[in-house]
Amino acid sequence: MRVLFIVLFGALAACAETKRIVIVKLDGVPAGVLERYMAETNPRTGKSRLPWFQYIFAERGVRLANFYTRGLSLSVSSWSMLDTGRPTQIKGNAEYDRYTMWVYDYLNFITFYFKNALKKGVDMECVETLDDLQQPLLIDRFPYGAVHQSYQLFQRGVRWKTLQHMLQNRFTTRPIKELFDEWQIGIGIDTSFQAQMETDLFANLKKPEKVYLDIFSSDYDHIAHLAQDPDAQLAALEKNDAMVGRIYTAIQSSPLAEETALIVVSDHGMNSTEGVYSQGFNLVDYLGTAEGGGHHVVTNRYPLQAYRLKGLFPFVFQVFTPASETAYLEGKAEQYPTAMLDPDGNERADVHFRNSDLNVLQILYEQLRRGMPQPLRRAVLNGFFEVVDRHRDGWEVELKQLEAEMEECKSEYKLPPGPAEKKKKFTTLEKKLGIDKSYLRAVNQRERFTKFIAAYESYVRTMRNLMAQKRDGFDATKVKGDDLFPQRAMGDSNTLYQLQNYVVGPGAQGIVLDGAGKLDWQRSFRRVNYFDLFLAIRTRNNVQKPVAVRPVDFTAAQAGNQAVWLSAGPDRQLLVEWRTNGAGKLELRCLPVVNLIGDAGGGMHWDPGVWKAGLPLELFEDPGRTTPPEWLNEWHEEREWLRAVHRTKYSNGVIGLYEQFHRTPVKDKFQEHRRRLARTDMMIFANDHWNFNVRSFNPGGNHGSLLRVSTHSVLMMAGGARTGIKKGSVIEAPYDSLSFMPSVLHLMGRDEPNLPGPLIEGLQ
Amino acid sequence: MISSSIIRMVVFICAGLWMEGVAQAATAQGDEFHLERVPVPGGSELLTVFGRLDGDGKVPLVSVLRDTLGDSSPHNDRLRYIWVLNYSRPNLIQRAASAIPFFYYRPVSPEKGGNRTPAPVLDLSAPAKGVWKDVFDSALQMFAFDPASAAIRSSTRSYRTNSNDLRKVFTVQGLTLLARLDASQTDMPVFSPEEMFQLQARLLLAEKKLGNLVAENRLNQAYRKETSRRDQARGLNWEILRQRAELSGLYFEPLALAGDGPSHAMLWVAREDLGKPHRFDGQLLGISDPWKDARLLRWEGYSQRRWFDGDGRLLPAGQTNSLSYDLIPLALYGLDHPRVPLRLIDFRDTFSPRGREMRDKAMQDLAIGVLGLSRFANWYYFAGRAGWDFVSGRFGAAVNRSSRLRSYSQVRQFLSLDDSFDAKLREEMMRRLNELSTNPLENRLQTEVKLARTQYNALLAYAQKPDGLARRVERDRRVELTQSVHGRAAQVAFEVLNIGSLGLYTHRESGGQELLANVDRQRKALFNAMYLQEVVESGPKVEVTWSMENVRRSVRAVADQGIRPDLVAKLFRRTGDDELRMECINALHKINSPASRAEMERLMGDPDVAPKWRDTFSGLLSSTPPATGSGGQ
Repeated sequence: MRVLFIVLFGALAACAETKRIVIVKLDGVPAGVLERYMAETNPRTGKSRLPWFQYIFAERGVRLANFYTRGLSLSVSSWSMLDTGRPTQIKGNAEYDRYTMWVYDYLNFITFYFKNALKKGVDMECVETLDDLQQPLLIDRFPYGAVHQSYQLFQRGVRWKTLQHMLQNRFTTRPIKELFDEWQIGIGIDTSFQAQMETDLFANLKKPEKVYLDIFSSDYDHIAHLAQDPDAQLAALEKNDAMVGRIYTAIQSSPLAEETALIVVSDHGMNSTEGVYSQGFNLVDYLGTAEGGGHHVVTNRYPLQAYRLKGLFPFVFQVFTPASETAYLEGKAEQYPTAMLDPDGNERADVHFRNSDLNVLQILYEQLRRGMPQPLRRAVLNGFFEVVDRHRDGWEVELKQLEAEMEECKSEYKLPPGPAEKKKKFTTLEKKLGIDKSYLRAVNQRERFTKFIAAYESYVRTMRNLMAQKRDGFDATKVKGDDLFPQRAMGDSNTLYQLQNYVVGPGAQGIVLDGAGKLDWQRSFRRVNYFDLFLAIRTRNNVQKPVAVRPVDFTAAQAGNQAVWLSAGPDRQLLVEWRTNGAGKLELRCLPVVNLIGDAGGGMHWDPGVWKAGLPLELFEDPGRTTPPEWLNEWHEEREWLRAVHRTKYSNGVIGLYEQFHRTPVKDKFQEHRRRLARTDMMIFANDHWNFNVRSFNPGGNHGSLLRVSTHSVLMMAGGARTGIKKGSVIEAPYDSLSFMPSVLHLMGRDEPNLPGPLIEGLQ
Repeated sequence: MISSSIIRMVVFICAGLWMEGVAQAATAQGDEFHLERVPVPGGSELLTVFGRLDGDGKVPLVSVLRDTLGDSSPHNDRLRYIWVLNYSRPNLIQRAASAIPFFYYRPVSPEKGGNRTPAPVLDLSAPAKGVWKDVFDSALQMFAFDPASAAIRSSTRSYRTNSNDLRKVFTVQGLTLLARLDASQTDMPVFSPEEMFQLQARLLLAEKKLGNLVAENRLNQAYRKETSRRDQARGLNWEILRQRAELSGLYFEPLALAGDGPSHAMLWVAREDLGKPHRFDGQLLGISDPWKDARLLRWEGYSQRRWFDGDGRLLPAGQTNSLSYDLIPLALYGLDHPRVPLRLIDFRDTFSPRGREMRDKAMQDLAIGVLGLSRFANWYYFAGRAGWDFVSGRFGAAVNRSSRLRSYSQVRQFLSLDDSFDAKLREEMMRRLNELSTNPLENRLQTEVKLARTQYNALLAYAQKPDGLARRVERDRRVELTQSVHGRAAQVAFEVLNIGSLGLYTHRESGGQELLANVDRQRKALFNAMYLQEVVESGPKVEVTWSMENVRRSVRAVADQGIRPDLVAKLFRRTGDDELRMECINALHKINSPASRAEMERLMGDPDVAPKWRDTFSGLLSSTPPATGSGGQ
């Protein structure tokens, strides 16, 4: 069957003008920097500083002058859109499940290699997640034998031979003097590794059956995070340039040279400015202080403040940082963390808080376990069950739905897999066709689902236990807290109201009663408005002129199903709304608002605002906007938005926010539910030259925000005569990540009309 | 700000013009430096950089000898020696003190001295020479002194460590100064970009034991790696200190020399904030908690009133409508140390940084000097020590002694060159830095100023003597000439003889009338060969990455000189440019040596070479008889 497919595929490929694509994936290379160096002449050589980019793409290919990542300028979500051609289901470099605290640690390569070696996994975790959601990658469009994929983020399998050959070649193919020099200068494993990836690519270019080849380089991203020195950054780009030159030359002498398209694409840009250090603000530390709410915080890596040996442990994916000042959870950092943070990418942070009402319940429960006067005890008990009763129906619906979905999943995937299933043997031919990997992939997926379900079941059990409690006869001293409050769980997402009135501990006078002898809900608890709190942060040491004193630019949170609320202060707020029009097309608009507040019933209220300077995204004052301000209030399709604002400071921020907060549903209900549980409570966007990295410092530069400097990416193509790719052409019209895949498939004559992104016009 | 590399590139193209312009007279390098150029008989020049040192007017800091062969062409220039002028040979008392184990104090610095011709810190024409001397010294130590007795072992080791440290301190000072000069070079620089680059790379490598055995063509990589590492360390340490200051309620002040990034930083505490409870995390700061320090409440040491705006940004002194605080300095840090900032001065505890250095040295003196532990026989001790260093490094200790030494040297230079400090603060810091030194061979800064002046005068006198510097340069040229006169095997033999005779024998070609012309020819040939080597190694299609005009010119030059047919053949394979190919064919034909004929034969038989070129080679080989004599190596 597979052989037949290959034959059919071969026939199909024969009709297409572009029979082969070679994609050079450059992590974090900003289009602006690349273009600037391309245009500069190197006085020593008399040619461009990046001569191959100039020669291949400026003189013999097509460049997109305005290509952007859609959504946040984060590696995982950006590559996800480029590699699937679909809106991103992955919203951060790390994601957390609210019920199980499972960490989707998408950038943990070490764990991936070990799991692969031990056959506990085949692909990177981000690929597994997309597989669970049944979202195929670009390489999945081609038969196993027709693909050559390098080491990268969305990696399927590990070619161990690359590592083996790299080590062999490093020491056996080079003169001793060269090895000595390298020892003195400093050994650079990364260079050897990149060289080996190139060698592998060249070997596969000679095979006509390989129609998809790619190579990945993170040289620029890596160095730009660490140093803002333009020399070092240029050196990384020069390395990329030389690599592209070698690949281009190898293509010219390969069997399909005339039908090969060479494509260079980057996932996002980089906010790095010479002479300016990117400053970090440590949210983990801040959230642990009394001012920040006294949270025990979960991250996916050790923060640098834990400057010690355990920071070296590579297999970590859940790190619990105890609060420096906690109001009611002393010593319970690992059982009851109340915040989860993904600051990776660094110009933004995703924050999850434990559901505020779970905090209320736990505070009241702890009170009930202490001795107190009867009227107060009664009021506290009433308060406790008032909260439980308020949520009971909602919880019931939620848990029932989850249970049903889990049952469906169990039966559909025949969970759990038997222990013998992994031991299946494969023939050489099957291995050559990748059948062994597909099989292992499926078994691992079932194991993964089994694990997820077990974790959800634990959460469901505890919640049902809580719901089963009755006011009459409830004795807190006889019920363990662990049986009532799910450990390592955040519970349901917080509403806007909850985030504006988030309970972080008992009030200054403890639990108090009102005049009617009932629990005084306002005075009994210390509450924090997290939107205002983050915006109010100011720093003492402001030694760089271009860096603002406030680390936070604005906050963002979902406001209903079809809007996101941005706040830079009570009178500087924006609502970005979306809808689908009669023609089934997405439409967006922006409304300035003031004093938006959520109410306890789940609704929200605001006063209309006016367009003025200083609103989030700075659309009003930006000279790069091509439309009048009133245009922004009106509904427009996304292409219109992109055209109107892509040159502004925040470029396609409006679309990016939609992409980040809207989720395209998937068919599988259980998977859909899991994705919903990974949704963040709120996002914090860093001011220019600020970052929230805590794992290590990135003083060179960062990305992750909606700033144009971070979202403006590279896309260039050049091809042999038969590909029809234009020569010496620049496409000025703006496009984003979703256009990449359909355009590449179109080049190959393999159009997929159901892909949502528009085709890039002017390539051929 | 235009980066130094861009300056390098731009200036390279204008090299010819530049040489002419500079040759006129001494050049000023902005306000910070002043350059003096003194011609040396026989076609060399002594370039000396003057700067301020310790606020003591213009002081000669570094001299470099450039061998120009007496012409204005930059292609045949060679840098020969670097002198760091405040580095002098220690006197007898200093030497004796440095040989006393566990003696970490400076005896009285010599008030006089430095009249002898100073020794260069590096010989750029033979950088490996110093390496072999070091290797010999180590062998002598290991096989002769170490087995003798604990007293001999520990005193010889102590002496060697101190003198190596001293050399390193001044090498770093020279490097720091050149880096500063590089950053402040105007559009009429004293040193060409390539020269500046060579100077810095070699000084960097001189810090490593075997560093100067690294090949010339790897200098670029070595320099880039090191500067990149330094920039990364600076950024990281800058952030560590800023964040820690923020967390601990302190004031952070990065310090940078004009035109350079911050290399040091200070932490301050506001007197007005004292007495209030505050968080403090000293893990990476290495200082005690200022919020619990009663001494600060009655601090009478140095403090400085500063003015800030509402955003906490520093304002000029006395600004109205601003916030004003009396700031007490807590510590000065070096930012170049890997992983953690290095505390260089603790204003409340002078002994603490010095104590760390003394402990470290004492441990080493005890283990290696007194107990005679060896890296091979007692590997477990060194493994344990490495483990301990690793763990304490993970917890934020500055464990890299070599980096500490470098930071110490840099901060001395930094304070000397920076005039933005309040005089009292500068004096205070200098005093504390002088306390930090544990090397008996070191002089106080004030002494160094005097030494620099007297040594410069001695060097000038040496440069003017007919049997002085000129003679030395002439002898160096005769050594240099062996490269073109003898084959590789003979050159290796000469080197072995030189090393084996501990430098007593050095092979030199005869001088005579033709010496300058021969050296000139050799250097130009080498220049073109190195250029073509770079072109060939740059990628698969040289016409994409290089301007063809310059490449063709170099091909013609190597053809005229009858050298490197291998490079010409490689170039032929790496180009699709017919004109260049033709130039390569003509060059191979012109060289017409056995090596060039062999290259032509290989190209003729190569199926990847187009038939028309193969025919051309065939025609040329059959129509031209082989030339007699050797050449074309």
